[in-house]
Parts: sequence; C-alpha cells; structure tokens
Amino acid sequence: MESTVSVSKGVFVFNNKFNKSKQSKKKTNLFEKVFTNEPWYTTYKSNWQYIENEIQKLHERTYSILLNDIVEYVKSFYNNTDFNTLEGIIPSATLLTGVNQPDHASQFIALIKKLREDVTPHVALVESQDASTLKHLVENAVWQLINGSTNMDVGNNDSEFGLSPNKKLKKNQCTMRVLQNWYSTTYTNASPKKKKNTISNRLLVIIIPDFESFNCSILQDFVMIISSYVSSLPIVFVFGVATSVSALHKSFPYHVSSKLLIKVFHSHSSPVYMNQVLEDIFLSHTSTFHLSGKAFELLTDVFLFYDFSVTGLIQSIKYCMMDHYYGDNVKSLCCERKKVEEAVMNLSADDLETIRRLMSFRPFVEAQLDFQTKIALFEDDDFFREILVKEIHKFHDYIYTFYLCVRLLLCYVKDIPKNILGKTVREVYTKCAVEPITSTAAFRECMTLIKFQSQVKLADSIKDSLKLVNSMLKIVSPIKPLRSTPTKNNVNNIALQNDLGENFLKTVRIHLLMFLRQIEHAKTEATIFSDDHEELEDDVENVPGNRYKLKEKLLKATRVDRVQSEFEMIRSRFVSYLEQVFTKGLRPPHSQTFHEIFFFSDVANVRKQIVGSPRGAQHTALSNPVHYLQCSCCVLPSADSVCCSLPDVCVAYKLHRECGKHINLYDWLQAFAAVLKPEHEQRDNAGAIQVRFTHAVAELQFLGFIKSSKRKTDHVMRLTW
Amino acid sequence: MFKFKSRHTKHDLQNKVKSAISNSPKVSETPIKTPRKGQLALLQSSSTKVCESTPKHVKDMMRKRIIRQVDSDSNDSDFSGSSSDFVPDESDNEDAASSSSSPSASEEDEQDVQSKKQTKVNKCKETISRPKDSEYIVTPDNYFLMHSSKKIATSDHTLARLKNLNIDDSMGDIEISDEHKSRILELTQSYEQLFNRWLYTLSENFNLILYGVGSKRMLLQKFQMQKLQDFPCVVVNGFFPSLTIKTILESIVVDVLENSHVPSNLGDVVSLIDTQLRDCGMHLFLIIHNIDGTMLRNSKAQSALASISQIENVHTIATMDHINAPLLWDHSKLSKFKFTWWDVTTFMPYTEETSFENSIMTQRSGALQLSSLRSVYQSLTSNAKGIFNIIINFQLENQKLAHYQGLPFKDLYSKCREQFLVSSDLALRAQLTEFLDHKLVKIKRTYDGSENLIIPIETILLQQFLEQES
Repeated sequence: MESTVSVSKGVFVFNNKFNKSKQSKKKTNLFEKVFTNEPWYTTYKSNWQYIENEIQKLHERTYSILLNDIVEYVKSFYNNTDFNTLEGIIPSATLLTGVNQPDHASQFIALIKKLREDVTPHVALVESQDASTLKHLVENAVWQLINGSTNMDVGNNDSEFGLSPNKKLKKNQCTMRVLQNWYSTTYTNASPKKKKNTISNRLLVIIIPDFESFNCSILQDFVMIISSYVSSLPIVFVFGVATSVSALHKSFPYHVSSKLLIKVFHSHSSPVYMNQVLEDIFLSHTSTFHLSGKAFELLTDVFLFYDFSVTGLIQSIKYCMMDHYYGDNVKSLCCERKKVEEAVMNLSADDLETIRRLMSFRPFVEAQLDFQTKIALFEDDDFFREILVKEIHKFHDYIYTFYLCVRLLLCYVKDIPKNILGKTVREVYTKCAVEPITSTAAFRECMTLIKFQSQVKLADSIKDSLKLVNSMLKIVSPIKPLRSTPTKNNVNNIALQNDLGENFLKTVRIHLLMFLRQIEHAKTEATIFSDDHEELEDDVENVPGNRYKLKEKLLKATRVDRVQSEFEMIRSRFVSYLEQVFTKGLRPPHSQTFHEIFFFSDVANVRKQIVGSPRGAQHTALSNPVHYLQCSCCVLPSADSVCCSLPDVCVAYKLHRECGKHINLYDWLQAFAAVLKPEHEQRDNAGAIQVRFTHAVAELQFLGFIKSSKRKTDHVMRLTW
Repeated sequence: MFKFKSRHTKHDLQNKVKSAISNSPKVSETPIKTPRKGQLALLQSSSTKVCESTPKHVKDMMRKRIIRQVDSDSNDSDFSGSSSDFVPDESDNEDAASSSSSPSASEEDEQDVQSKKQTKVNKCKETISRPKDSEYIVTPDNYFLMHSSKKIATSDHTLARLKNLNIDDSMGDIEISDEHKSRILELTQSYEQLFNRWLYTLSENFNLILYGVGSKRMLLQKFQMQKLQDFPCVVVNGFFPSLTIKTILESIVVDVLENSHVPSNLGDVVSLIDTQLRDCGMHLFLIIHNIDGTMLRNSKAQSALASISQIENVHTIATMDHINAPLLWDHSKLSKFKFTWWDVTTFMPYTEETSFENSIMTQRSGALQLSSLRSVYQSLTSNAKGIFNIIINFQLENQKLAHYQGLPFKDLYSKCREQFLVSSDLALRAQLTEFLDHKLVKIKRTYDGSENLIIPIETILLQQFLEQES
C-alpha cells in the first residue's frame, strides 16, 4: 500500500481493483459474507428487521392523523378551476414540528408520500443546504416539481402525457417561466379527457422543511416571486417550523406575509413520541430483545437531557442490540418464542458450555434438589437442552407477566399525587427492572395512597386495568371466550397460582372483575351509631355561633372508633391483593434464570460508544498514562505529581496545568528540563531536551490545549482551566 | 516556571516563619487549637508518606536551583516587594496556586499550612475520581481563579536566553522508553482486536469516530490494510494545510466514480454519489484522519462530510484530536454522521500531524523565518542586499525608541544614494517591491503621509541573521 503522506496532497484514493464499469452483482452484500454464517448474526438481523417494521408501522400510525389534516387542507384549495380568486395570495400550511430537526425528515418523507398518493405528483422538498441563493432555490423547486413525479412512476406519466424528449431539463434551465410553460402545456392545453381531473390533482406543493435555517431574504424573495405566479399556477407551500409561528412572522415583513394564507398544524412533541415508541415496541413482550433498567435509563437520559431525538434513541437501541448479539451464538436463543426449540437444537456443545457459565445458571443449579439432575445438567447435553427449552419458555412467560404487571401498576399509580413511581410506562419499568419494586418505600407509599382513593376513582382504574388485560388477552388468544362471571364462593380464596403467563393473566382478570363488582356495589357509609350522629347535628344546629363547642364535638367525633364501611374493607383487601400480584409479577429480570440471554445490561461498555467522552479520555491519558499503558514505571502517587518516566506530552501537560492563563515558554522549558534531567546542573544535552519539549508543545498545541499569544513575548495562552 | 518558583520563595518564607513558631511553642495557645495541631501533624506525616515516592534528587535539585535563582534574579519576581499575605493580589495568586495545581514532585517537600490545605483538596478529589477513572471532572472554580486578574503574572524570561535557539527540528524523534514502547505495542494490538467489531458496526450503517491521545494514523492504516483491501477507499488527511472540501468531493466523484466533473451544488453531489454507489452496489470507505483539521473546521465542510457520511453506501471512519472538536457538530450533523465513539488512546507521536503545524516553539525560535529570510536574501542582487542591510541596520539601531515607526522612505533613498546603490527614486521602489512581495518588508504610512519601512521580524533574529551573513 502506498503511503498517505505527502506535502502536496491531502486526499488519497485507493480504488482497490474496483472498477465502476465492470461491476459485479455479487458484491452487493460485501459485509455480510464476514458474518452471514453465524447464527447470532441471522438472529440479530431478523429481530432488527422486525423492530424496524414495527417502528415503520408506528410512524404511519402516529403521523396519519396529522398528515390527513394537512392533505385535506391542501386539497381544499383551488377547488374551482379558476384560481384567480385568491389574488396573489399563496395558501400555506405551517407545520410546527418542535425543536429537534433530525427527526423530522421521516415526517416530511411520509408527508410527501401521502401527498403524492392522494393529491398531486408534483411535490418539491427544498432543504436549506440546497438553497444558498435564490437561483438555487428556484432551480431546485422547479426541477423537482417538473421531474419529481417521473421519479415516482415513470411509465404512468409517459403514456398519459406523451412527454416531450426534453423532459429531463437541466437544472440551470429551470426557472419560473419554464415551470409556467410546462404547466400550461401539460395541463391547461391538455386533451379534453384530462378535464375531468379536478384541479387538486395537479397542485404544485413546495415543502420547506427547515424554515429557520433558511436565509430570510431569499425566502422573502421566493415568496414574492411565487405570489406573482400564483394566478396561473396552483402552488401551495408547506413550512416546517421548529420553534413557533412567531418565527414565520419575524422573518417575513408585512408585505411578504400578507401574501401568505397561513394555517398552523401541530405535531406531537418528541417526548410523547418517544414514549410511544418505547411502550409499543421495546417495552412489550413481543420484542425479543430487552434492555435492563440501567441501560434503559442511560438511553432515556441521553434523549431527555441531550438531544430529544427519537431517531437517535432508536439508533442507540440498535447499537445496544448489535452489541448484545455480537459474536455470541448463545444469543441466537434471544429470538421469537416459536423458534426457540430450533435455536436450542442448533447450539453446539461449546455454546452450551457458555450457557452453563452464565451467572444466573448457578442459582438455578443450586435450587435443584436432586443430585442426579444436577449432574445431568452438566454432563448430559441433551438433557440440558431440554431443560433449556423449558426454562426459556418459562422466561418468556415471565416477561409476558412482567410487562403486563408494569402496565397494571401504572394504571393504579399514574394518577396518585406526587407521581412517586412516574407517569409513563418507561419510568415504572426502569424502577421495576432495577430492584424488586414491592419492597421499596415508594411502592408502599403508593399503596397507602391507593387506600385513600374514592370509590369512583378506584372503579375507574380497575376498569382501565381490565381493558388492558382484555386487550392483552385478545392478542394472545383472539377467539377463546372467557368466563366473565366469577362464582361467589371464589371470593374468599383468592390465591395466585404458581404459573405465570397467560393463565396468570386470566386469573388476574377474573379477580379484577370480581373486585370491580364488589367495589361498585359496596356501600360507602360507615355504620356509625345513629344517635351519635343526630346528637352532633342537633348541637351544631342549636348553637350555630358557638365555635368552641363545635370544635369540642369534632374532637370527640374523631375519638370515636371509626368503623370501616364495606367499601373500605374491600378496598384494603384489594390493595393487599394488588401487592400480592405485583410481588409475584414484578420480580426484577436479573433474578431470573438465563436473563443474560434476553436482557442487555452491559451499559458501561456501550455508554462509551454511544456518548463518547473525548475530553475525559484525553485528560486521563495525559494526567495518568498508567491507566492506558499499564506500565510499572509511571505509577504516580497522586493525579498531579510528575515523574521523569512519563511520556513527554504528559510531563508538559502536567506542568502546564500548574500555570495560569499565560505560560512563559522559557520557564516551561526549564521546568520540563528539571523534571526530565534533574541530575545535570548545567544540562549539557539541552538541545535534545529542547527538541523533546518542542515536540511536546507542538502536540499540546495540536490537541488544543494552548495557543500562541501576542500579549507578551514568548508566551502561550492556556485554553483550558 | 515563574509561578513555580515564586511559590517556592513564598513557601520558603512561610517555612521559616513556621519553623520559628514551632521552635518557640506559645504558652498562650488555647486548648481548642491543640487538637488541630495534632491533626496537622497527622496530615504532615501522611503527606510525607505520599511524597516518599518522589525522587529525592529531584527535590534537592529543585531546592538548589530555586535558591540560586532567587538569589540571582529576585528582581524579576512580582512578589519580591511584598512578603505579607495580606496583599489581596498575592493571596489571590496563592489560592490559585494551591487549588489549581496541586503538589508537583518538587514541592511536596514543603510542609506548612498550605500543604495541609492541599492534601485536603487532593483527598476529596481522589475520592471522587477513583471509582471512575476516565471521568473528566470539571472544576469551574479554576476558571474564575484564572480569569480573576487581567495581569499576566509571569516572568519576563524569553526564549532568547537559550544558548542555541535554532536547533534543527528534525534532530531526532521523541524518545520513548522501551517499556513504554512495548506497552504501546500491546495497546495497539488490543485495538486491532476491535477491527471486526468496527466492520460489523460499519456494516450496520454506523460511522466510527476515534479519539484519544496519540496518533491514530498507523492504526487506521492497519485497519485499511487488513479489512478494506477489497473496497474502494478515500483517505483524507484532515491536517493537511491546503485541503479543501472540494478536493475531497472531487476525488470521490471523479477519481472513484469516474465522472467528468463535480456538480457545483452540494445536494447534487450527494445525490449523485448516492445513486451511483447504489446503482453499482458498491461500498465506499471514507477515512478521515483528523476530521477536526484546520481546513475542515468550518460548518460548510462539516455539513458536506455529514451529508456524504449519511449515504448508506458510504462508511466514514474519522479521527479527532482537538479537545474542542465535538463543538463542530450540531444536532443535525451528528444525526447524519451517526457516530459511534471509540477511545483509542495510542500515545504515538503526532509526527505527520504536527509536521505542518506552525509550532509555537519553532515559530518563536524563528528557525523557519531565519532560513527563509536567508534563502530570499541569497537570491538578491548585491545592490538589493545593500538596501536590505540598510533597513536592517537602521531598525536595529532605532528599535529601542519608544515609538519606532520604521525607516522613512526618503531617508532610505538618500542613504542608498550615498552608497551608490540606486540612482533614482523609481529604481529604489522597484527594488522594494521585491521585498514587499516576499514580505521581508512592510510599508507603514504615517499621519503626515510619508512612507516608513519596517521589517516584521524580531530583533534577535535580525541580529542573528546579520551575524551569520557577515
């Protein structure tokens, strides 16, 4: 390989036998040949494919309402054939997207797709980077309006319009006049059979996705130009505004904004969207890959405190997933439930050995009472496989119950004051995944708060949770009818069976129904002695002004033992039932056997790759090189001490840390020399040290710690503190 | 160095005071204070334990030198006038000294109240930093300490005090001890194990950014050799001083994709690359050494790189070194780059990377300036040399004047005429254009409209130049 060092060239090309003209089709999946044969890779691929599809579906679901609104709005213009009614006023939709711009690309792509399907083939999307001048902006917009549709469905257009050969215009020929001519030839003077098309079928839509990053004056001019053509061309604008409508008003003076007919649309805020993505896709039993509480916390923190980007979050999760599967065939077990048997059978003896070495396997073995099974677990691969399949099914059941219980808990907890456990699934999940939630103070507090809830409120939450359970059951078994009327004699022996999964769900459902009925029919009034009651009322009525006496009465009333009403009794029983359910259902994942296969928990490792801390790494490397080098010679007593065996840059760095804003190069050099060669009083080899110092200073400058300063001769400025 | 030293002078003083105090125990000492003293002693003992590991000869050496220096140039010191702690300015500096920098090897031998404070600071620092070693803890207090005073409190030493100012820069590589060499080798080998993982990450459409101290060129070259032999690669040296984003785009579009010209608009270039790569189903690898290089430090270049990296069939592997490099990217760029961050601290010298950089030291020592001055001078005619010498001599003689404006053109003309160097005003101007073109001379206009000539090179260098020429 030739070297890439040159004083005259900065870019080097290695074609590596690649020739564009004789392309080979087999090169399409170049990478995959490295990994394809590995089971983990195929499992990862299929799982990610699944998740990606789900996300896509979710996208469509969440955007659909908003997009329909916009499309309807766009359609509503130019309903009649003469579009002179608006007199130079351009209809425009303003979509308030919220601050995070990277996410919006998908939104606009969906919008374009929808517009092309439902309204018009002529849609142009011009981003700020493509519109540095008015000329570019017009060219881009016009070119896309004219040619955009052909990219979508070439055959369709060609046959219908009989396109002229100069269809593919060069970009620099695209002007508004060209657009006008093209429009009149294709539509206005078209054959009579075209007349039946409504005007909305040939709207011209121009989308400006990132309004704020455009140059104001360019946009102003653009709007003015378009407004002069709007009498002959049915143009509609769509602006994507990240901040607020006032941005639009600020950048357009009156004479421009008067040409626009603006209607504002709001899109979801990104935290809402994130919650949706997480709840529907990742925090459900249908996902094969699960994040541990810590990992989950990291990712949501990055989202909430750093970028608000859902795409970024999904990418981070993808990275976690990649890391989870990478190079470990055992992870091929982390797949859909129905494929488990197959995956287990495909495992090699080595893979089984790795599974045996999992941390969670030990407690499992120790729990086995029979010595024979214990030995068989280690010796007999087939037996182990059998057990493995059983355990994995158990784990799937567990996960199913776990996520259900998280949602159930949320139903009861989300409305109680102070939001002790949080208001969203992800918050509750993080808490549940880290520790057994039922033993925490927060949970107990929640339960006491539920004990104070009113009848109506409680009934509502039970109804909510029933809805949830029903929908879950519908997913699992859509046909099977369920016994909805619990028998009366069930009331007193509420006990949870040991099995998790679907059966658990069914029993929970039955119990909930029962409680609901009981609560709804329960009497709220406490059975207090009636005479007591009347006496109190009498007194109050008789002496209305006597506050002192009233106070005394009330005090007395508190001293009377309150007899629980029927509702209260049921309520407390219900709460203890809930506790029971959650203790069973919300055992943290890390207590389960083989949780390592399904739950990704290597946060520390992934954190570095996702977040990155270049500054920290540099600081560590320079102040404590042992951390990286692991050498015996540079072990330092404290982070700030210096010794002569350190690399030169480190010595220079440490010395520079001791200085103020300005550093005298000469003194720095002397200090440097004193550290390196303390024994020579006169330093005969000053030259060598000077060279080393020069290198070190150059490197520090390169790293950005210092820069030259003009304030004093031979001084440098320190750029850090 | 000065700060260093001044602290010592002050500490020495404090030592004296302290020893005096400890030698004559005060009777009046309140019992409340005694435990504090005991504590102090404890701390002292602990700090001595700590400093056991610092080489004693360093300490002795420093002490000797300090004493000598204090004797020789005590008038340099800002503090020499005041030994009292109550001068606010000084106490400021003292604080800065004690908290911003902590005991260097040479100062640990001092045991006074200061050191007690320091050990305390260190202790809490350590307890914070121990568990997470790579965490970088920002200490905002230092910022305010550093910016509290406008005055530059450093000594007036200049590099001119060095005997041999202009040593040949290429006089040898950076010395790395054998142990470090082997360790660095191990370190790079450990990074080589990541290659497959990198490939995997790249294949999933993430891009890589490598950071950490030390040149990462070798590592990336190895990666390219081992893993990317079958793919077209474009290697960009971001540190190359005359790199432009246009050349990068050109080499991709023209050299790799074999087009005839590059579209002028960035969006067009990106879509062109995208469609062509997709059409022939090929993957392009973009290796950028120092994506934070000087010429790439503008938003235009970065957004171009980001847009290219976003393409599905382009895989970017970039390195960064500058501490503020992450500031280059905003949200949208970062989301386009889709970086995964990798800490690859190699400790390898930045030989290539800094070879272009105008190093402060070499710039100051003026080796470059001097040699270029010499080569231009040698190509001059003898008359021109004479003219230049006149300007140099005049500047050297009059440099000391308070407002040296340069040599007035008229004076130069008359001097040149005296020496028969030029015959006319025009001829002199013709000669001067040569100097102006090479930036050997600058013309300054004064208020009265006369032109003054100045050589924008430091006096010492000029003197050196004259000595060498004569």
